[in-house]
Amino acid sequence: MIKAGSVVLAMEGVCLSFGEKRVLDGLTFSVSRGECFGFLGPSGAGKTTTIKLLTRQLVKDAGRVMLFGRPIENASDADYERIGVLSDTSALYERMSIEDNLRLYAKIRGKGEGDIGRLLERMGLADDRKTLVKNCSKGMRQRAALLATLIHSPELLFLDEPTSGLDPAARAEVHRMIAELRSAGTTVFLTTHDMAEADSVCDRIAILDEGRIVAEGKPELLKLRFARNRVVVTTRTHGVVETTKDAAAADELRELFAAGEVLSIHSDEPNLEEVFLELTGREF
Amino acid sequence: MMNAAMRKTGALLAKDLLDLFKNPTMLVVCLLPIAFMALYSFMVGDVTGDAEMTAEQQEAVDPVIRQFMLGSALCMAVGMVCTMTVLYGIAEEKEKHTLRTLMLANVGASQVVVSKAAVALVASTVVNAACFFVAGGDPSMLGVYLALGIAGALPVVLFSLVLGLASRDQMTAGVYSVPVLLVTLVPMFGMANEGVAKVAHWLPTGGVYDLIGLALRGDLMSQEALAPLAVTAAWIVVGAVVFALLFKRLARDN
Repeated sequence: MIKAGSVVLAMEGVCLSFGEKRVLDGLTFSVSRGECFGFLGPSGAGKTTTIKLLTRQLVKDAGRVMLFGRPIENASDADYERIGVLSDTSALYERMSIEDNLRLYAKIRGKGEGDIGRLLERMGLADDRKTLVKNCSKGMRQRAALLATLIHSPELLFLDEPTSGLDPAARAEVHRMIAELRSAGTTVFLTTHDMAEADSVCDRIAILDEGRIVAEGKPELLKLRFARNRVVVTTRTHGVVETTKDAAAADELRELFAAGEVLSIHSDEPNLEEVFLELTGREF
Repeated sequence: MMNAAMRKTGALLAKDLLDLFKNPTMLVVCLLPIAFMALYSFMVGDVTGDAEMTAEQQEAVDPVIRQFMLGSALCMAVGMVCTMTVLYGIAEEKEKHTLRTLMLANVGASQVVVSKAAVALVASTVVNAACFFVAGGDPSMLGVYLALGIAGALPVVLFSLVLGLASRDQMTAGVYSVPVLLVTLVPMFGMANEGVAKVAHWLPTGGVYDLIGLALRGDLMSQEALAPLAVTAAWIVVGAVVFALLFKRLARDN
């Protein structure tokens, strides 16, 4: 049952097929106001399709989709003015400068141009404001497209693989921006196939596999739930010893310490990729 | 709601108009009819200035030549400029994903279409005006000529919008534009062949081509004008109906 109130976005039993192929199979989740919700999965899992459903580009076969507390079928243009979408193919006009593109989107969104300078500064594009988009690197284009998406300060932001193709510095910049947006109360729906990215920026994640959600929750709790409960000890004379994190293993460890055998000890923390492997039996 | 639509259309219109000057292909297409008219004027000047022609022959040739010059200018300006600005304009937006990005920014397909159509009409009118003077048109006829240009451009713009929305990319747009361009230019060749002339009367720019001839003879308000007027109006209606029927289905990018 979809809860009202603070829920900005929700899906309940949503199905979608392309011909014979079922691409979304009973999706159910909700995203609360101010939350950064990560939608994870390998290529072809249904992440972009879900965003397309949520942004009127596709129509579901079955189930219920709620946007700002009302069925998506009843969502008005005014509701969509509260949304920003950076899709995997978002592109700016190549024969226009970054700044002119932002001006265009400011006009389209009915916003003043006052924020453009601040946004360009924030994304490290101030020095390139006059550069034509056709002369920009992929990273610059991606960051500029993100700025165009943010020009009207959306309440709900869909980011489809926002850091794909970016260098580490640009990725860090985008992550910092997402963190700032979250702290300012913006709800972020982020799709990514980068588990480390989801781990670092998302409050909650859902792992999607072949159109179904196979796990949902806080990243740290998911990792704990699927933890392999393993401790790896490198010893002086017995080589590498693997043991578990329970009381029975504690005695064994104590003996090794007492004998001065322990060279190093590591708790084997699971990452989200291992969670996916555990859930689906497949590599991410 | 209305204000938002107007604001968005205005923003797109300003962008599309500026792009005419930034896009070398569009710029060349806009200059091409003017260049052709300059060339035609040079060639036709040789014919009409033939010293061996009698005064009667000169009198007989003159209106035909003048209709050919102004009619050709109109056909080229409408055919080339409208087809390219609309068809290629939309196809480029689709190919480069800027159309999808606009849609995701809550811009309606109708706003995009209105902007493209308006830019095509403005550009073809400006090119028509330039061609008119290059072709040696009488300035007192400019208003009528430009009005006929807009009437002839309307069906071409409507068909180009439909084909632009149907194009996947600029390559497809290139294929789709050829028949539109050819059909638009056919009245130019009516003078050379009787069969072509018969067909040309019924084509989208055929009506306005004939009306230019009548206007030059001062018969635009005569009964003779009814048939070409009806042809022009019929093409505008057909274009509007085709556009209305296909717009919704085609407007969905992808």
